Amino acid sequence: MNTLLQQILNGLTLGSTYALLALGIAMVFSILHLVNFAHGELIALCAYAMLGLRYLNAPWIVWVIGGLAAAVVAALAMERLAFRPIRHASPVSMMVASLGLLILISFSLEAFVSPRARAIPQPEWMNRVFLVGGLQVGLKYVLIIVVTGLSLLGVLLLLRRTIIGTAMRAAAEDFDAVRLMGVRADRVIATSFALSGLLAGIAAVLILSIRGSVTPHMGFSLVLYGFIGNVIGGLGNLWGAVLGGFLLGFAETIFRAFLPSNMSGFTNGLLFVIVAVILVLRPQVLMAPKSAARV
Amino acid sequence: MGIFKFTRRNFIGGVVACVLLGGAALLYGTGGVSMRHIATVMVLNAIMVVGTQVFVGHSGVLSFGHIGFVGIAAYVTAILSAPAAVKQTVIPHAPLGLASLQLPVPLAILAAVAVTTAIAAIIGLFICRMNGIAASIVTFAVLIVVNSVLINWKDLTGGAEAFYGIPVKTNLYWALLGLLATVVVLRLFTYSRVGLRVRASREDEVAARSIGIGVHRSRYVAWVLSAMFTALGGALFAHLLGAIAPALFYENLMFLQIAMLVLGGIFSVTGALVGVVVVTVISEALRWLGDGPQIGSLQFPMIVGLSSLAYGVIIVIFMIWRPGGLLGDREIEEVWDWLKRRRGKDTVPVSTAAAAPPMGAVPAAITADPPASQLTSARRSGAKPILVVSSVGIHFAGLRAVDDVSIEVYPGEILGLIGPNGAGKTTLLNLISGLYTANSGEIMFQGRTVTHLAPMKIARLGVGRTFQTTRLFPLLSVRENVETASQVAQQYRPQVYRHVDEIIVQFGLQDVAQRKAGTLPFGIQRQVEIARAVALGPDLLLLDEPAAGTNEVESLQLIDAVRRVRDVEKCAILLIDHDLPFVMNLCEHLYVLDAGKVIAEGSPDEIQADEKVKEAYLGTQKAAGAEERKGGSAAESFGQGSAAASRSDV
Repeated sequence: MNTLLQQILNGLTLGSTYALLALGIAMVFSILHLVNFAHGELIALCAYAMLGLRYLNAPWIVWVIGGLAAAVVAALAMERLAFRPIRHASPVSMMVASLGLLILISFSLEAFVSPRARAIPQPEWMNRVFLVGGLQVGLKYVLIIVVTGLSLLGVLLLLRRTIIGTAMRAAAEDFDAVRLMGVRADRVIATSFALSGLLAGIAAVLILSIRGSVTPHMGFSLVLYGFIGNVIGGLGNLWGAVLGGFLLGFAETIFRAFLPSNMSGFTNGLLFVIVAVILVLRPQVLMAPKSAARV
Repeated sequence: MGIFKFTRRNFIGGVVACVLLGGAALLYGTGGVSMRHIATVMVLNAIMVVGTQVFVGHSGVLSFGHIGFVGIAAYVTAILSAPAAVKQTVIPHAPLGLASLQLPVPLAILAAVAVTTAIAAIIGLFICRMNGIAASIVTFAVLIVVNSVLINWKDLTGGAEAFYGIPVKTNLYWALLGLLATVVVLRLFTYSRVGLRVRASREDEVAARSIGIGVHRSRYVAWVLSAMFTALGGALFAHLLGAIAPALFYENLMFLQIAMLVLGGIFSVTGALVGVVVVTVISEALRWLGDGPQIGSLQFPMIVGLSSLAYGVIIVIFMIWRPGGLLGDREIEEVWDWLKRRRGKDTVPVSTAAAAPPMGAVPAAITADPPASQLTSARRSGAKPILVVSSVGIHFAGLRAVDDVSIEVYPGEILGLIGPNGAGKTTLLNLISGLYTANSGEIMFQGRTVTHLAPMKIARLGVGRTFQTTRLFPLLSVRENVETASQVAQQYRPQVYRHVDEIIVQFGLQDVAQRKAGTLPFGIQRQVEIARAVALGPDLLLLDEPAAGTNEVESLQLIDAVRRVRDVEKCAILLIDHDLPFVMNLCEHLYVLDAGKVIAEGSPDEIQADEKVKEAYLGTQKAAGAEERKGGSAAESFGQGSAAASRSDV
């Protein structure tokens, strides 16, 4: 019973980070139809910004704020420098460009910072553990779940209660119509990138609190997990992506806990078999926007 | 089969490209053992990249899975050809007695290509049914699954550690031989019947279906062919290295090969080769720099990952500034032509719109205009209709776009479909040509129910169409645009097949035949689109707003042209247009659609007298409170219509 609860808690924590990742990817995809491989690099950049602030002996909270700011700025820079010039190119071209950014950023970190992993220590208080009904609950895991919940709530409120949020939701439905109504496309797209950067930053802080170190290529595997979450939830569907992220967290926890030990290496492979099967059965989850489907 | 088409130009182009690359590789290879190794790796990369390019470039679907195929082929040949003594230590528990088997290297390579191709053929069944991004992500999944299997199926592959002891047999010469075979074979694919179809589907899938192209099937052929040659490269690669590990066939190789593809130009084999050479040179230079060389008294620091970083820079730069790569879709012989033109300057002035004669300039013999009455008589004499649409309806999210519509089209007649915006005219055309499937009712073409047939099948039965916004294959030449349809006719409608050049002449397109369709002025693109539909040898031709954007003179020419098409092809024509004079003049019978329903039908004269029609066209303006004036102008426009009609009748 306790192991089950423990696994559920594990799944929830893991799923939280994946949900934030997937939501950030979905946010940009829903508006621009860009499959952004470079989203994982926002996490890496946030982490390296925190690393830099650590070496400046700044307090932990400054690392966090600096990291989040770096992720948002990086996301905006990507949009402005790389994706805006090719906004009207095919989704495949944009995807290839984002892959180029992934390579560019991760290998820059490797070449100019360090090829090796670097530690980012957590404040002591985070490692506190409670005993709840015989169940060991790490404070950090509770925090992860709470922060994720608050972030999701924030995004929800932004999308529902603000004008720019409404414009973003409308743009995801039919960008051309929104543009005709006088909403500035640049602003909607930039906001969605900024928001996806912020989500990546939050995810990075949470992931670092578990892993404790950064590597130049951490973004690549993370972004793949973000894609899986999106495919499960239907790419471009924001809340589907969140759900997909949580499901992925649970699936991974279950695989790791219950696959026979000589099979546990297959976890990754199995997850991507699921992705392939979903896409083969329901390719329309990735369909082009409605306006493009018109003949 | 139509998979390969031998032309001397393409063959020589392929050979020359190989000789150039081979010469460079051989020259570089004289610089010592390590340089020869680099040159050989470059040639093997060229085999793999050209192999990948044949699918990616022709279909427009980016595949990451080919890196997985390289890995599978390398491992299969390694497992089959390594000496038993080695295998006893690397993979002692291999299934099927593989641990004690040792095949000669050529046989092992053949087997590797066969196994990989078979696996790709199975995966391709699913991938080739999917489009764009979804297909790319599935190929990515394939790569990750392959990698996971290579790492974890330890009994067979030896796991994440190196599989060593593979006989080293590949040298620069064998690699070049492999490249020559790959390039020549794949160059001959590009201009073959299937190759043309894959490229057409890349350019515009909807248009490709509308002329009867089986998009998935032709894409599948490209996929299998492409996997086969990529596998050849992978197998040769294993026999060059002697030791392989799963990590070799993962993200780094993927990044490298995508950079090579993007730099040279994804649409051409020559581009792929250029990309391989340039990226190899850049990446070797940076590797040297990254190793911390000492130049004079200057000691450079050691930097890890510098050459990989360059792949990222190359990809980003090219995707933003030159998405077509250095060569675009040019092959070596076209580059040669281009260089010659630049030096000569006087050769072949690119013909302009003005040079092209008006559409449908037909040999004089058939220009005689048969009296319209004779042709419309089919409708009156009780002949069987060629197309019967009965009570057809379709709704989108609650909106009844077409609602209980019935129309009949008789052989050889020119039928007009008019109505205000949003009346459902184009939707009806899409229903007839199979792009949409009706929710209710039935569509019969030549006595056969086609309600649920795919567009491609309906086109092959003899329904050609054009689109409201012209949908050509922009990167294909005008001749190729028309040829796609004429080849479909050759295969499925041999009784009406005509050679592509005959149709090019019929439409007066000789001067622009070799130009890319996307570079032509709008008016000529329209002509090419009609020529393409006609090349299908249709019994029914659907024209969606052929007169849109034409001026008065052009629209009169168009009237003649459409009539001639009907007279030459003996086909029925169903057309939509907003230009009432044009429609009234050209059509022998009209249907009027409003809000998804047929509100009137009859001869142009009957329609012009119909009160309901006037109402439908003006209803909204009446509501705006300007009935008198607008009513007058409508009558005027109808009047113009009949005036134009009488003019041409004389």
